[in-house]
Amino acid sequence: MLVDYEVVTRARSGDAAAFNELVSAYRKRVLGTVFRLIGRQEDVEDVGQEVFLRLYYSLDQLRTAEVFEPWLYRLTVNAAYDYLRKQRRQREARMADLTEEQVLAADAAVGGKQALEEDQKAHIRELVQSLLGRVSEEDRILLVLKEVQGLSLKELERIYRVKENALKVRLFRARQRVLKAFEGIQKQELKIKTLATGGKHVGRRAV
Amino acid sequence: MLDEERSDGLERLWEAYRLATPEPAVSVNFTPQLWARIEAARPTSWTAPLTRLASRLVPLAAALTLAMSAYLWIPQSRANANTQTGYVDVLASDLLEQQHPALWVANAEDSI
Repeated sequence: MLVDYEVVTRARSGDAAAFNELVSAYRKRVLGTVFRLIGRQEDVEDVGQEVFLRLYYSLDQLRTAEVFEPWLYRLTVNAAYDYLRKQRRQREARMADLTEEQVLAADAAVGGKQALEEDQKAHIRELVQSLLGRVSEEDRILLVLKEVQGLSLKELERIYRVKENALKVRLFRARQRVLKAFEGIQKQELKIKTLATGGKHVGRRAV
Repeated sequence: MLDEERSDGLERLWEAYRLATPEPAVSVNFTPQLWARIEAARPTSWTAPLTRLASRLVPLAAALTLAMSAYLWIPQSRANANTQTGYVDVLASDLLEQQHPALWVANAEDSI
């Protein structure tokens, strides 16, 4: 816990100062999680505020201060899930308009700057977002929490409120689906590279 | 073998993604904007009683609708039953009235 249970209790009873304390203590963690879940820096604060807004109006439903952190994670996951659902609909519309030349140009633009660390990171974010965009929002969130955030099965159990075995099954299936999507992305990247180099074979990009 | 390679590649990708997505810096406006959103989402003082009233009226209206439906349906079905019985009875009595004199005359003729 980043704060005392007493702060949570006070925030529950409507103490604005205590709520501010909660926000200050947890906003970095929440924003970090949101960033990894949604992958769009420009929307992170908006989704983060949505998380705390939901927290504010649902604090009275919190049974005990001990379950505050899983509760906050749950709110974060739900807000990210809602955002991703909305984004998916918009993205589908946008992607339908992209030509292959545009995809190539975008890839070349990223490829040209790869010597710079920040651009490499941006490329990795794009790649992972592209990968995660090929699986469901449920799989995406579960995988990010487990593989990127590094949450344990016990922690996930408390967030998802399901038994460990059910969680393991879900994780296994999600991993299978993302592996399949990864294979698709690798093939696509190879195809784009081949097109860009005029048919010369190019090795797989090392991650 | 290929699956293992792919699985390892994916593990490395997760790791790289973790490093590429550090906890973002929080803008100074984060908390003030959050409070503005909280205030905007708060039910205003004059709408709150209306909301409470509406939420109480909904089950009341539903119960009233059910009661009225039951009231309208039950007497009608009773009335239907009464009407049908009454109509049949009237027909039967009419028939009897019409038939009795004839029968009586016929019987009288037979006896003569």
